[in-house]
Amino acid sequence: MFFISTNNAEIIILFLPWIKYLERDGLKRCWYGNFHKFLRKLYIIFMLKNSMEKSYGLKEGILIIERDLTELDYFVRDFLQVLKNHSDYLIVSGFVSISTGRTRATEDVDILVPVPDKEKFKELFDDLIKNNFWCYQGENFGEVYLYVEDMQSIRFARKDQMFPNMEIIFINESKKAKYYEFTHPLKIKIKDFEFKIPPLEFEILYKEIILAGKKDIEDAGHLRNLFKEILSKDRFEEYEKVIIDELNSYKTK
Amino acid sequence: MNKIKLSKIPKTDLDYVEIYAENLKTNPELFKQQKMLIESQMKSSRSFFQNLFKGKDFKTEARKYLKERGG
Repeated sequence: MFFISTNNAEIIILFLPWIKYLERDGLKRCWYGNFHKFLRKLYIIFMLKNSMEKSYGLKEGILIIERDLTELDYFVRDFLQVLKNHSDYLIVSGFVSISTGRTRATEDVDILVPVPDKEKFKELFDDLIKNNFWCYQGENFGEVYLYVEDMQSIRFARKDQMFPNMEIIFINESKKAKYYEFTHPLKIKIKDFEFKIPPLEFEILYKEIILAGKKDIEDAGHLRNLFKEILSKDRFEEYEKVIIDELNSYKTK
Repeated sequence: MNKIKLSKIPKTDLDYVEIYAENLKTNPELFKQQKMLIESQMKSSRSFFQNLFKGKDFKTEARKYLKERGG
């Protein structure tokens, strides 16, 4: 019971040399020998238990994060519940790192959304307002749609709150890197909250190469270290080409 | 339970981020600290703006506030 209550396999390791000493003294057949076997079994159980205590796992291609939901998750989840009735999406940037445990503050959650036509946007806009969100850019869909057709970002927050906000970044096929990540999503699940993010390797490279601010480099460092065991060299190589093309296109503009 | 194991001596902010991520891998308990920080930030933000715009129309004041700051 002592070993179980401490939940520490290292304590059992400490006992092993003592048990070995007893074995050498010919006591293997007495109860110490059985005790040794018992400890060995306990050790294996604890090692298995420890190996299971991970903060994440991959199940059928879905990245599972082992934590409770935060208020920020509930905000994003509530927004997505409305958005998903009208459009596809991809959550990108800071929230990808934060949702996987990066401990930092944020004001906005970036989300890629294919640019909608006027009618579809009206339905989405009205539904968001009906569900207690407000838009920074204006009160009615007509004035906000001017931003949409110009492919400028728009932001929504909860009623009577400023932050956090969802920053909708509109995309189409002309935005090559963003369109690429949008069409290669990775599913992530925290409790019952499931949403789509870019492949981890893509997100890391985008932050390191394109965004490249201090915060972005640290976000990438978080993802690189946390997911070291599941990151793929081949995927890094594949995505790097897409991102370098994007970088070059900025330089020629 | 929430002790951080140091794989190297941290010098830069990035070192701290990397060490934290390394530890987080096998210690989901650290998520509790993250939850506290995030929720504290949200609570502070909510309280700050509700006091700032008290008695006025929130959206009008918020847009004015954002415009003044180039938002």
